[in-house]
Amino acid sequence: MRCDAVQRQFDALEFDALSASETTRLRHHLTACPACAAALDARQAEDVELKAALAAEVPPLGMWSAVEAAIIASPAPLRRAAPRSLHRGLRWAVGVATAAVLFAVAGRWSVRPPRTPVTPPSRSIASSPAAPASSETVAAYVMGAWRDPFADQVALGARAWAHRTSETSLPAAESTTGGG
Amino acid sequence: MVRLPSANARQSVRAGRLPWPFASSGGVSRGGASLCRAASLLAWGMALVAGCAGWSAPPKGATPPDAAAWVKRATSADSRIPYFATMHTHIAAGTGYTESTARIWRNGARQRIEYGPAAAPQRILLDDGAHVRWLDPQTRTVTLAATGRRSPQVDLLLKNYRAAWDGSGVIAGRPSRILRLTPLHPPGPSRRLWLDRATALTLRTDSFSADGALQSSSFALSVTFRPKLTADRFRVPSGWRETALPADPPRWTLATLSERVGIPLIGLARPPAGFRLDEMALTQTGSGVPSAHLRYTDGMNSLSLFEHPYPRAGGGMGRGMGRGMGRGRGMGRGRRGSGVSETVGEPCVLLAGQAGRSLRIFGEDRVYILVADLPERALRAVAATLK
Repeated sequence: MRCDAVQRQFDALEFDALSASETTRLRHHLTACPACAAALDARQAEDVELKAALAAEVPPLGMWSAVEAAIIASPAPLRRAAPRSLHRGLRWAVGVATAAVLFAVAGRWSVRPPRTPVTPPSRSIASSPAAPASSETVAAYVMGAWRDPFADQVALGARAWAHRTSETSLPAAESTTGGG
Repeated sequence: MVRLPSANARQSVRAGRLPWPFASSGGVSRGGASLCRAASLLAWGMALVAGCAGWSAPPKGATPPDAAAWVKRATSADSRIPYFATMHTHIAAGTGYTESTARIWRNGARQRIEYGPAAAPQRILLDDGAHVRWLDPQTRTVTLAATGRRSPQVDLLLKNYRAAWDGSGVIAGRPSRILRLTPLHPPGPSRRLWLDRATALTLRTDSFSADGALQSSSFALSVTFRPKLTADRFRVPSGWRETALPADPPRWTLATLSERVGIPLIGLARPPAGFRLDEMALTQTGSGVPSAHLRYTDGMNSLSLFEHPYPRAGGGMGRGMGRGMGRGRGMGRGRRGSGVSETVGEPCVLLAGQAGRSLRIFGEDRVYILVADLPERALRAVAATLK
């Protein structure tokens, strides 16, 4: 067996995906080839180190439940991912706009009531051109292509996961990039 | 057309046997037999040389295999051949890219994808052919992702995309043919695929957006065919918490989905050329408002139209019709095609440079969101048909 072919099978060996004969052949090569044996040793040592390092980073039990509860308890518009400065600016703009609308409506009502009730759309969603489409929407769009011919499922999965789990993973400048 | 020596032929060569028509036949004279043997050896030698040349580079002028037939073969290869592979993927994100390594176990319609380091995967995806489940090892929770359950629409793909060979290469040590799929109705996305010569399995996929930018590239680092696979690989481990796993979703129609979402759905009167309605689904917005998802596809690109009513002031759409309907501004006044108000809001461009480009359109009684991998001008043209 060639060394590059052997080393390409390390993943399969690690995950016990090789047949008995393939495993025997590979083990036989490893006993005769110090380079491949060293590569496998190094890889296994890295795995152990990585596993230990990642285990130390596991958050305490119940942390996610607390975060989830906090997200659910907060009002929906606050869950939108946007730069802090944008939030501040938006709040200021919405405040001014609301005051202006109230002032105008109060003025009009003092003269005569409107003929039809004013039912503005939900401003928190409607008025911001920079508000990203919700993560749920993007994830639904991305995963909609899952069963298409030649869908790159590895990339789709990674992309959908990023959108599903973290709105802040969307770049803030996405609404300003040019079209094709 | 130069074809590679078949597996049987190669095995015969290894075993020292000469396959027909080169094997000498009995019932001839001694001199004739020697002549025959010499001729057959000469012919076999020439065939061997031609075969070797075929492995490295097909001679100029050789007829390539039928690309459309290979498209069909390649789309079924995933479910035909059990395999284990390690893949690496690069995904465009903003001005840079992110990358990830994943391990895939595939057996028929079932597959498992593990992202992150082999020692401690950060996320796992299980696909049973009908549902995709996300497993989060940190919280030991499982959630369902809506993917539909249709089979790949290969005929639609071939109707809207040109398949052509674009050379050859080697991926994960395996000789591959490179296939390019380009739109017949541009603008649209395109793909460059490295197909394993022996099995037609896709070993590398380069996905380009409608503006020609590389969106993602995923390639095999190693692949093992017919690996040892246990059923446990494709099961949710015991003790994990499954959340939001509904019963099988119903087959939605416009009428039933309209009723569920609380507004009469309009849909696209004139989808872009080559696109057709693929499926309908119920989803929800970030604030929990039920939203209809109408998905159109041309076989590779997809165009999603989301429609949802405005949320009720002070608390969601839990009871159904919402503000517009309740006050007679929605269904009562609406007519087909009248949903977009010029004054309420202009379409806004969202998500440019991502997996798709999106427009949000504020109608009188609803919000439309269009998402597709199309240039902004093309997407605005689709939005205009909503008026």
